[in-house]
Amino acid sequence: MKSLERTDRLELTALRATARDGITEILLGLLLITFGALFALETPLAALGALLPFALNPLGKMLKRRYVYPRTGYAKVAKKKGAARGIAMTAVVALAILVGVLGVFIWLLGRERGSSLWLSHFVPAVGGLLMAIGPWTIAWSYRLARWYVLALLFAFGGVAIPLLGIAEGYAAIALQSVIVGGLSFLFGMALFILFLRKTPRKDAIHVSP
Amino acid sequence: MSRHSAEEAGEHPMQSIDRLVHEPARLAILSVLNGFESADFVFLLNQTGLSRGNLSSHLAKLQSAEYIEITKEFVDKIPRTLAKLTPQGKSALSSYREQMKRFLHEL
Repeated sequence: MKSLERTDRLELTALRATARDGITEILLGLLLITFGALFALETPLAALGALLPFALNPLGKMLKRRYVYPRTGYAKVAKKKGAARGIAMTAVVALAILVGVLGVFIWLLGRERGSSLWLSHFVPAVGGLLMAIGPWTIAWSYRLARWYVLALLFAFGGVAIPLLGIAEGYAAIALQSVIVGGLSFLFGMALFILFLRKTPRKDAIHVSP
Repeated sequence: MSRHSAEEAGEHPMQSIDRLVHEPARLAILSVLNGFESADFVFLLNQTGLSRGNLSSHLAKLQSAEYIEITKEFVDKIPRTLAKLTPQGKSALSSYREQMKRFLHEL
């Protein structure tokens, strides 16, 4: 049985090795900080935030090509067979979050609810929970604790920031994005530096089978 | 040959195990490749812990059995040897796992 466990472990270790460099955390951090700043400025330019992933994608590819592949080698993660099912499940989870938070909101606030409370408390809570889905999916696929932490930060941040009176409404979303993005960026940088120091370059190895 | 047909033929169930997959180094290579669309030589070297020559010879054996597909390309003028699990390789690995699970369960 040990050999079978070893093969499963090897598969997971190899998968995790592709997430060891911290580049995803750096990119997510940059994305959230920029998104948060655009949101805080309350400018129509905030809509451009939707294009940010496309702008950051080439940066990620460049970092991988220049610093990661010469050290760890290149590997392209296979798309999961149930990708369509995963998207459908994510949509269901997002809808459940939306309905669930709406239910809690109505139950807690009763007749006192109004559009101002809706904006100040409900929108950041839902925003936080929806933003937690991505990191949670990564954490679950790669079984990486740090992404669970990030997902929990999102989920609790959306609820806690307005409840503690730190910020409300759109400002709460912006603040949450900047805080979580900043943490993600710093953690990613630390991981990246550690990765560069611990992993020597191994390029130009070419042995024909 | 399936385990039942192996039993019917009076063979030990272990005799029906695919020896090409059962070898630890090749099993490691196939297991690593199983989670990826493709992986290069350096990546396999890092993940399996094999020496370059060893990895190279095992890759050649897997390639000749058509369990993996090997392609070569140049990226920024640097040669890259890519290995990819074929559908035959995938099914060989999964049936090996099934056979081993059943066999070890019955022990």
